[in-house]
Amino acid sequence: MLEGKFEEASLFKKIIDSFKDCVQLVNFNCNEHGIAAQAVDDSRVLLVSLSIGTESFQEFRCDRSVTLGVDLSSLAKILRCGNNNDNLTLIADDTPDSVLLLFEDTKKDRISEYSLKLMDIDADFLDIDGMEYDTTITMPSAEFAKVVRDLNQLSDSLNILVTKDTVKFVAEGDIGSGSVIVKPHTDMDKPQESVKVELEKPVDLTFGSKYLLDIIKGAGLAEQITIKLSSETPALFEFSLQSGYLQFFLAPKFNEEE
Amino acid sequence: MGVHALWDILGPTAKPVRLDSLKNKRLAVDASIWIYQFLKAVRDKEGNAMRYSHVVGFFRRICKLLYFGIKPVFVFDGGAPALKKRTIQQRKERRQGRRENAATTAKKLLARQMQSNGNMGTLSSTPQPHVHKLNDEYDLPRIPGFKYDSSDTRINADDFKTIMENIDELDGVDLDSINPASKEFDELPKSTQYMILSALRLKSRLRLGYSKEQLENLFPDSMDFSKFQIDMVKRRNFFTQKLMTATNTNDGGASKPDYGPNSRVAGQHGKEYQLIRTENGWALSLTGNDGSEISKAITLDEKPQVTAAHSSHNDDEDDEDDNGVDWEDIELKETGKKEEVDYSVKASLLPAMGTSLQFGGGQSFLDKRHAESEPAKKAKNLVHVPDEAVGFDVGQGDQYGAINDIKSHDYDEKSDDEYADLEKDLQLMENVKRSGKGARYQMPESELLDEDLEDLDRVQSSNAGGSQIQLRRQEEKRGSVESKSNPLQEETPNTVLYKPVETTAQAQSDEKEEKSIDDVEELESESGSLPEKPKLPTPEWFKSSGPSQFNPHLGTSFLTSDQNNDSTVDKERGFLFTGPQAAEILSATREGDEVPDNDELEEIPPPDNKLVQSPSPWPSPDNVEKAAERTKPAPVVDYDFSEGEEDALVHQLREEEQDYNTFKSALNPTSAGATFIDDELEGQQMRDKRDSDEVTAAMVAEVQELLTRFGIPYLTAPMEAEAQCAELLMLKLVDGIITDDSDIFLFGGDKVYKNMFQEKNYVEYYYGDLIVKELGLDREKFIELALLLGSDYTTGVKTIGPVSAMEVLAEFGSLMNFRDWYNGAQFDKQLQGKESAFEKKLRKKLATNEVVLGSEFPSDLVREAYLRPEVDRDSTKFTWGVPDLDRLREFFKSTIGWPKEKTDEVMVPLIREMNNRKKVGLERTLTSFFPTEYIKAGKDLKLGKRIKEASGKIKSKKLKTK
Repeated sequence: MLEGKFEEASLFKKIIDSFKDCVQLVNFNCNEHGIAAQAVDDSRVLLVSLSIGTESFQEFRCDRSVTLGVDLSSLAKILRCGNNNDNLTLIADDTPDSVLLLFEDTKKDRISEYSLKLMDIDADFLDIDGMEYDTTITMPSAEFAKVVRDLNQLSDSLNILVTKDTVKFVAEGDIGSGSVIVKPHTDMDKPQESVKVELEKPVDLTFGSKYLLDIIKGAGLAEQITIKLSSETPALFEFSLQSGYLQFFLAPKFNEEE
Repeated sequence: MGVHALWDILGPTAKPVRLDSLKNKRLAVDASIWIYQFLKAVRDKEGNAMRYSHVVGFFRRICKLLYFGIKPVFVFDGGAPALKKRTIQQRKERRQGRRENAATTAKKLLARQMQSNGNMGTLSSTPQPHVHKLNDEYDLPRIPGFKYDSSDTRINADDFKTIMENIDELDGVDLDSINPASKEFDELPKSTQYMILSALRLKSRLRLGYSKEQLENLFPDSMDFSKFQIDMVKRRNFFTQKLMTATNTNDGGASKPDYGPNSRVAGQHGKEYQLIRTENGWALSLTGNDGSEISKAITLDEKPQVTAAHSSHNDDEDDEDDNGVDWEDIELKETGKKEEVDYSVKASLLPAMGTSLQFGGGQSFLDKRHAESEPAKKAKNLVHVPDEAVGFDVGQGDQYGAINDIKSHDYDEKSDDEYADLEKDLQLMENVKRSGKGARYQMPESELLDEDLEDLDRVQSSNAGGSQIQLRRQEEKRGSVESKSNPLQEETPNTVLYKPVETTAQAQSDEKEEKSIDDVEELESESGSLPEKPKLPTPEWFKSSGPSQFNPHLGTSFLTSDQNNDSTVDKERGFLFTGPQAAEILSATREGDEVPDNDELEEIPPPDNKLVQSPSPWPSPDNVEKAAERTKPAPVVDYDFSEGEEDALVHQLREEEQDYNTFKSALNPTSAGATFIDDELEGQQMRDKRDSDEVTAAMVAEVQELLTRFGIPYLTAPMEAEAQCAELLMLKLVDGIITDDSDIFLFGGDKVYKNMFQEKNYVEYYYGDLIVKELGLDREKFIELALLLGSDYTTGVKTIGPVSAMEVLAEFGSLMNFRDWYNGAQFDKQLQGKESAFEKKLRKKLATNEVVLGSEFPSDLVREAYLRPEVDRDSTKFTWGVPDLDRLREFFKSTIGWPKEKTDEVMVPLIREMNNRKKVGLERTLTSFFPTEYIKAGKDLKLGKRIKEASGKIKSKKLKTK
């Protein structure tokens, strides 16, 4: 029996909206620690890993682990039916055919109830634990989103160069080229505006812009984004939740000469 | 194909994989059966295979692979291991036997009935006495429906006809078609030999069943009759000798294996289709006449002989016999057999009708001196032409042998026909009145021809009917014709003198040229209608008389186009519809081919089509058709498809067709979704017809050429392509294998993509880990399954299907235990009593089917063949080039005649896409960084209950042993 209650439906809505465009079918694994999910996009370049800890819920109980195979576009449709401020409760029994979504408007005493049919989803599970990274960048997610959006206009790949004390985003395309340089700084008043770079080795990686555009949809979830890079390995883009995270793993592109 | 029903077991473990995700993967493609698939499954509306279907098919598949960024490596079959050949053989026999047992009895009965009906039919419809069927003067007409007790001695006692019939249909074998001098005859059981020989001997005394009047008719000249009689005496002598050989100590045939009597399954009068067991299995012999090549080649029909037999009343020279026989012999010789004299009764009546008619014509028109020398020359010419045909064969390889035989038969038949036409025209020219007579005179004759020739005969008679018109037309055109034929005429005498062999042919064509365009047209239409191969020899005639610039290949078409300008379409159409069968064949061809102008009207489907069509009125058409299919010339590599598989194949390719169209429109939205048949191969039909039925080395070479131009690496495996693919995977030269052959698992290939070309975006992916996890099957187990189910290397255990095979593996753990269990308690009731329910059931099933598990089971030979196949272990990495658009255009233009635009339609967007991908840089996939585990949603696969239990047991056993 799963019963998870979000204080505000908007949180779950944001989480789902931030990755529903890159993957469609997702298995949500629910256990006593919360809800977790992993999904890979069709081209197997981008992986989404979600973990919603129990702290993010107002109430959470899950006696036995349950897998909910969900079509995200259907789930998003149902989530749109609820107001942002409603309480949202997810309910499923131990061998569920469907999951129940309960929206409660606390002020008006209105309760709406939706049921979403579940599906059996075959999927790859990638063992992503134990990755080590050369560089960790922490920066405001809004800023990162802007950089990606701007440079996407020029080219469909984005080069990230991290050297000592600078992070350089470069895009070279047919119409021209552009680059954005971000330097680490600490904003004492608004710590969330700070840029932090921890560098062990300089890194030069190129990514497909279209995947980065998918990633920045999660920018609404957290003020800050953590980017972990290592040459020749997939990069990790992480948005922290109050308890848990939404991670994107993105495979870099081949170098030209190869 | 692969392990029988293995895919059924593996099916549930298939994982759908998006084609996108295969980007940049190196995949080995088991291309060995592709050509065969295209050949089998891609047919035009008439079911004719299309030439170059393999090129188009490969092109499409390659395009699809490249479009998705897959790096393919094509692997071709090198050869088939002896084990495989043997197994295919055995299986065919088994299948054959089964089918035969079930159907034979009924069909035999039916055939008998049909035969007697058919005989009556021919009797009434032909004014000419039919060989052996016409009774003597005391015989009463048979009343249909009149029945009598077969034991009634009053009726049967002295009934000559009954005797004759008994003789004729001894054992259901047409005596006339038996050649006691042939090897096959020697291989018959002694008793059968004896029966046949004594019957033949009796028959040779009985004037072949002719009445006195008939004989008088046949031999207006008593000298001829004497010669005939002498010949018969010779034959009788031979029979007697043979009889003695068969009965006494001479061990002529006994040393050879006794294949049992050939039994007549079904047939039509004057024809015989025999299922004959040969070293390669069962072959359908369509002429029983000279069976010496049965093991190798299938002779399509015996029309020439039949024609000849009927025309014997015009027989002038007994020499003709021998020449006719010679002609046969040369064929035999060419196909690598010992020269044999055909002593069959029919052979004795062989002189070709057309030939003698033609002599008449020649005599009346040409100088007498020519005429005198003609018979012999004519015969030589006959010899000469097949010679050409066969000579051509030899170059092409053995598998052509069969086809050529067929074709030369056809050819001969047709040329006979032409001669008849020719004579008609000669007569027309000499004397209009007489020509009318001549035509009338001929008409009964032509009607006498065998039913199968009816169509052609009608063409003749209609021709005769329209003689007046023809004549007029001839005269109108004479002026122009003469100018054309002049140089030919001039040449004639010389060639007559110096090239005696070709004289007759030359004379003929000269006559034709001179006499009438129509005639030439007819010749055209005849020769045009010859199947492709004889086309080559045909121009020989023209070459001999005509200018030397005739290219043998172009000869026919050149003349055709030249002459047909003058011809009227109507007339040809008339031809088409005179003979129902001809009309059927020709118009069908015309429809299917959408031939735009009458130049190509005469095109006739390739022999195998004809074969399929002609038996249609026969008692057992489907049997014959199937047999025809089976007896198709052996392909380079013999793939063992069951019929079901072939059906599936056709279905698959149809799906692929649709898939391709969507793919193409996705690539290039402006191009209309053209279909394989209507559009892409248009303009190819003429060539389509050629060689379309076997996988030839040429086809493989064409495909490899195509691959080269695409910049795709390929290799030819030392033996089996699947084994090589598996080896490439183990050498890590490729990331997976594209094949539909389940053998791949047995060779150790465990990353398999199946049905790559059916679905638009997905492909079925099978991989070893999951199969082990879900079914507990690893390579060893796969091999054991193969031993139970049967595969290319082993026939398997009868009655064991996929489910029980899994159960056997689960229950007994190993095949050794299974065998010991089965043999151990087979005759021990006590032990049997202790068996479990499953064991009892299994034993019952096996025992009722008389399954014997010898000590060689499970065969180590098979195991070894799978575990250590002959492969190339070179670990050099493959490299991929880029498609060379110019060379591809050129290739498609020269092979399938595609214009540049057609190639560009697909290639340009494809190359753009490829370049684009390169420019952008290749996306790496996460799966190359992280260890991946595949999670099935449903905890359980949708396995059958019994398979699930069995695989559970297999798995738990494996755990214990670990």
